[in-house]
Amino acid sequence: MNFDLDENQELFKAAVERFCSGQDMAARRAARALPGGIDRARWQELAELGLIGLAAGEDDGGMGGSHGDLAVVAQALGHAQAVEPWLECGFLPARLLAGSAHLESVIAGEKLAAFAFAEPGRRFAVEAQGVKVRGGKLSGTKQFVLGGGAADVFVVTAEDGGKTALYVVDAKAAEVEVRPYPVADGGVAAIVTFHDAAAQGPLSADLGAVIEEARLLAAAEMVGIAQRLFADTLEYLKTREQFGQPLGRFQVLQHRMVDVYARVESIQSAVLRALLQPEAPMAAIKAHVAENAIWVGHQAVQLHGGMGMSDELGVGHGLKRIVLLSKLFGDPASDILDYARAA
Amino acid sequence: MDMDFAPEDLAFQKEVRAFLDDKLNARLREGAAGTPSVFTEPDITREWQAILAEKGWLATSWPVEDGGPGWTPTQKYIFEKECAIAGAPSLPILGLRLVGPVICHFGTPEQKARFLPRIISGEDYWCQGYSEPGAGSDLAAVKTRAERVGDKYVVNGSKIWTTHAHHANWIFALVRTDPSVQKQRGISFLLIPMEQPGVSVSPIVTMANDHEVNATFFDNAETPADNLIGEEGQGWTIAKFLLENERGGSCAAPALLAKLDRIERWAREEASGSGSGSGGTMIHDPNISQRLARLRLEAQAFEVTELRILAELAKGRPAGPQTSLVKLTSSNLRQQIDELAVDLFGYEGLQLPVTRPLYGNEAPEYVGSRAAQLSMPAYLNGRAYTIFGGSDEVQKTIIAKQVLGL
Repeated sequence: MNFDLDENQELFKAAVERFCSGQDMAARRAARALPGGIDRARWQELAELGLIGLAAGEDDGGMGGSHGDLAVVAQALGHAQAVEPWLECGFLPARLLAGSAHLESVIAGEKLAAFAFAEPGRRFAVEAQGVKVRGGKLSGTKQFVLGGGAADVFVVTAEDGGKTALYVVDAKAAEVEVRPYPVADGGVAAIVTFHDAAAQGPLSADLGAVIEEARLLAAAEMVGIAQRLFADTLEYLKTREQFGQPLGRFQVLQHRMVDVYARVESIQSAVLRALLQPEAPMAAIKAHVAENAIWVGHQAVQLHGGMGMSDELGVGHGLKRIVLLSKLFGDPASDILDYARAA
Repeated sequence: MDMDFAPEDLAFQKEVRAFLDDKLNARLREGAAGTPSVFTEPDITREWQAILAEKGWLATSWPVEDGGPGWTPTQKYIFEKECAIAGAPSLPILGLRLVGPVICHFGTPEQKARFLPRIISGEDYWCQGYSEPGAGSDLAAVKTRAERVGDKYVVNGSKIWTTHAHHANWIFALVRTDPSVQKQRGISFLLIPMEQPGVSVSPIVTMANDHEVNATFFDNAETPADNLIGEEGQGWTIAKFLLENERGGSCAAPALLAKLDRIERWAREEASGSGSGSGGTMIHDPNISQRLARLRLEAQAFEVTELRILAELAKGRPAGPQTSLVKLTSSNLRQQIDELAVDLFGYEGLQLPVTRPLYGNEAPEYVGSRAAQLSMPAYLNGRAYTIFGGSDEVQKTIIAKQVLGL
């Protein structure tokens, strides 16, 4: 038995840490304020580190990273509070575009792809219904397309002869209408409407399997953020003084921090279990991680007091990213209900 | 034992309802509903304030001789309850509910004559200078220094979390006039004009993208010595009076119940998205419906807790430290209700508008519904409920000491 990172994983983790070092709040805000919310030069840099290619198979010109490798990257990005939407616009397209001509430029960071899966009025349903493909043309509306304001191409789930299939659509085509809107983590999503847009596909990727992997990586990123919030809050309690002593001397806060610590350890273990037991219920584990990470986020804000509410500090940003990830491909309540019903 | 209002109170309730029906126009209702922050912006509150001032129903916690309506605690409760149910905008309480009663109670006749009418007219807009970077929960640690120089005070230091300081032309502040004595005893309550070179305000944007609070800096700011309330060193006593007044007879439950009613309405409309063409709505979702039920039961119980306090006040008995319990309960309930709203809207609950306001022609386009668009900023701003006005941790310490005798 061994839970240590291997040599490659240490390298990936170090690469992420280097990539994110020096990215202060001002730099983050500047990136978010760009049209589409993504700094393309930074994105390219991320790609050059091999972090997008890690998600693509070796046959496709990628590095064929294991789940463990990918989880290390996701967790490190979470811990560094990176603004780059690696999970949404890196991992997902790299997996979904397997075998596609678009993959090479996506892995290289030259082309930005966004995954359009959510439909208005369909909550977390994965099966496409409102967006249909007929005779190679795509029609209908998607929402919550993360990174959709900056994307060059969309990978789209579409109803195709009663089944859900994956197609690629050029984001700049005249038949594609993109309405960007801001989301909780500071990123930009879009409502995308296709008016008989030319669609390439179907793609061969196994959608269900990719979504399971994305849930695992969302959980790993949440663990990274929760660890960061824990560390920052601990530091704050040691240095912030009220009533003539550090806040950390108050027993009620000591006990609260022990609870935070216990939950952070629990969710790290949960993600490791998901990694090391392939049959583990991914959605349910993500739900467990999400519920605890949200609680950790709430405590981090509370224990920072007024400062925790401010956009200046990373605390709120961490909470908001956790909240967004908690609902990606299903929220904790629905996932736990599914798990209970399946048991 | 009964929970009913007396016939004369019921008649008053009817009068209030008719008034609200008549006076709450669509713009005011939309402004109130479209405010995800704790305080409503002046463009909405000024109009509502003028309507209430004309009716004589504005300064409800002031004595009659100072311009109050002379209501009983029960009438005050009924008025607030009906306003909450009708969706009326909140009022600029920093003047009306905080410094106003302080001036009524501690002010000289000259101070009353000078300040009170201008609070009612809206000519003066007040903000509060309490917390400082080094004095949050430990409020008695305030360092902002006010030195008496001739017939004025010269003020240096900074205040933080000054709500609506960017709209205000006056600030009431806890300042240190005597650094040589025990910390509570050296504090005074001072009124300082904002519109002068020595005062500057810098915005603090919340994680919800709202600009509601600020940092306010004093650099040799001046105020006439006449603007001291009470005596030097009396500031801590006045601050405690203000806090107790703030927490006195409360009416938080009706607004919480009204919000739960709205969430239930939205849940009846929100598609559950499960299965193809099932047409189901979220009201049948076991998680949403159970949370809705639990929160309603708790809010209904809380309503009775508030009525029990009201009954004491109505008999002329003091409110006592159970008001800390009210603050604790309402803050936590509120946060859970706001979280439920976000969860109800699925992906649409994750939109977080960057610009304000979220009402009127300037409001950005929403995804799904306006209610969905408001849910995330309300949830994020609402995290402050358990922090400001005495954090949960401070309230629990007060209850442990003063109620439980621990």
